[in-house]
Amino acid sequence: MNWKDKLEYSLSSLSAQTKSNKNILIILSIVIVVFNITFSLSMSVRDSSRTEITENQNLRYIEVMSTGENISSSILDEIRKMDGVSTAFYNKTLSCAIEFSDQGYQAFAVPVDKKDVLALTGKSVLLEENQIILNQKYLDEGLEVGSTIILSYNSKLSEDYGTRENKEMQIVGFYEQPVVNSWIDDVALISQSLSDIIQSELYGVSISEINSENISEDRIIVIVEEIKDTNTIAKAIESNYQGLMTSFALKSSEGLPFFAQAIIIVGGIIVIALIIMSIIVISSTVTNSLKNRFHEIGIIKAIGYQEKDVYQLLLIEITMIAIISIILSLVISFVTLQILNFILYKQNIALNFLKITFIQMLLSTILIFLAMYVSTIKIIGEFSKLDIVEVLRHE
Amino acid sequence: MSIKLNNINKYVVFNNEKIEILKDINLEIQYGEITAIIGNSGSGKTTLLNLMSLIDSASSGEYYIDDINVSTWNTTERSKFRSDYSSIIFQQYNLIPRMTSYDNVKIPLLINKNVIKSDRKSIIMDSLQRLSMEHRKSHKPNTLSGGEQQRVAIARALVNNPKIVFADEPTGNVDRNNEQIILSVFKELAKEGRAVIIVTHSDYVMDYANRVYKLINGEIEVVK
Repeated sequence: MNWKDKLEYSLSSLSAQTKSNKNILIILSIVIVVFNITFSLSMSVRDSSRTEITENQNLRYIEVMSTGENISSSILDEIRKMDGVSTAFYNKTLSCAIEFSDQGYQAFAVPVDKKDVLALTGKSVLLEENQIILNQKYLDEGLEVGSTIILSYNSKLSEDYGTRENKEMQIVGFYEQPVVNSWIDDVALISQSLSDIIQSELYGVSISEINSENISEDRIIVIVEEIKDTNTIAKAIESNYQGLMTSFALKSSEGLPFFAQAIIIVGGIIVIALIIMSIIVISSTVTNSLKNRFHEIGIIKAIGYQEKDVYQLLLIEITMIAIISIILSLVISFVTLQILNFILYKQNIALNFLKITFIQMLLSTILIFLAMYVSTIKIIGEFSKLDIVEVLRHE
Repeated sequence: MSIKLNNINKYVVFNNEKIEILKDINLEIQYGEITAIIGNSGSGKTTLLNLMSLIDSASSGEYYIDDINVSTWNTTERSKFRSDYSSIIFQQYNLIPRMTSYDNVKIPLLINKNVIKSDRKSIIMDSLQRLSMEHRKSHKPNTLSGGEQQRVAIARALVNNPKIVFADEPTGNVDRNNEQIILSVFKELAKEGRAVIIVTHSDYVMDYANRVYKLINGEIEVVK
């Protein structure tokens, strides 16, 4: 018996078993639609959290604050050497203004070394006294690398009197300013030597006096290598150093990946329960359907069909139902997800677009074949071995 | 070349009790003849036909077809015998309800490797024509009379050109006109050199038969 004949025979059987086939199609479609909704929703939450959190390079920053004494340079060095820490530097924000083309902007300048610049900009640059790295928003103002600006800051002349100092600076780069809670305004990156000059002029002391003082600040910025380590490193700093507390933007969003996981777990349990239920329902539906075909199986075996012929014919029927179920359930899943997308959009819920991926289609196909074959293989095996005499006796 | 049964016994065990259905059956059937097996209900006629058509197997004894001991054959060999060498006709027609007459007759051809696909249609139509059923080829069984259904069932039995035709009460549910058509076909088949073995109650069938055997309580007697 060739495959074309087998297909033809099975198709004619399928068309005669519409009621039982309809039940199987309904149950399988429900399972796959629930599976696809769960899968798409969890992937959407995961992708959203990935875009907003786990792959957001702006969240690699921890601001460490002292609740008591200033943070000493030795503690800063220790933190710099911690596993997973890219660099750490004092959050020494010096008030200044950035002026160019008759425009002026209030800003802060923070002194950084070569390692800090690398961690912040991805470029290894040792800033000189007259060099500056600006927030990348200044690109929109027409500034570019090589342009010059005026850095303006306060200089103390006496106890009650001061003046404004202007320093011409060359722009050597732009950077994406990280989400650090205390960096509300623009923060420009400058060299340590320029920072010393600004400080000495601000306080009216010499640079050697600035340098001779035991350097310390009450805040440092820690840049971690991997976003996923942010939480761990922040906790380690808090537990290793009494009196230090941390603040980082990831803190408020760290529950999102857990939410995605929760959807996967709950959805997974529902899908598994539905699969088990569908196996039971399909198994009983196929058994009843085949019982109605006892006679037919007996006839074709009496005519000379072998057990393997009968088995293959029934297997083809099961496979055909599975294929129809795959197409139907994927179409229903697609339509359902479009409706959900529309609802989410209308409700202003910021999730990534719910879609059916190739992996989902593959998993849906595997699930349907699995459910169909697990629930029917044994039954069709038993029916193909039916004793002809027994069947014909029950005419 | 003949069909021989040597000391065939068949029993079943029911409620730990051994019930003998056929006892020491010795029988030789020739090709080119109609052989009728008669007997009361429960005498073992259908069981004997099932054994000879290799649908069932004997509890003991030997069964030879053309000097080949087929009693030792496995299920695959038995299936091949039923599809390629013999055919069986039932009293209840046993057509598949969802299929047309044409499709019912086609069923045996689907497993016949000796018939090429392009020849199928003419073979099916020849077989239906032989039983004068070609005009009903598109009809499903529920739109045919009992006699017509049996004629389609016989067309199906003949489509693979069997050497042996087994028939279990083939005219039991048909009117006299259809009975005559069916028996004349059986007579032709015997003339063509085939063995036609019929289990029957009908005196009319017995008149057509070359040999008649009677089963009484599982034992066989020669009547004609």
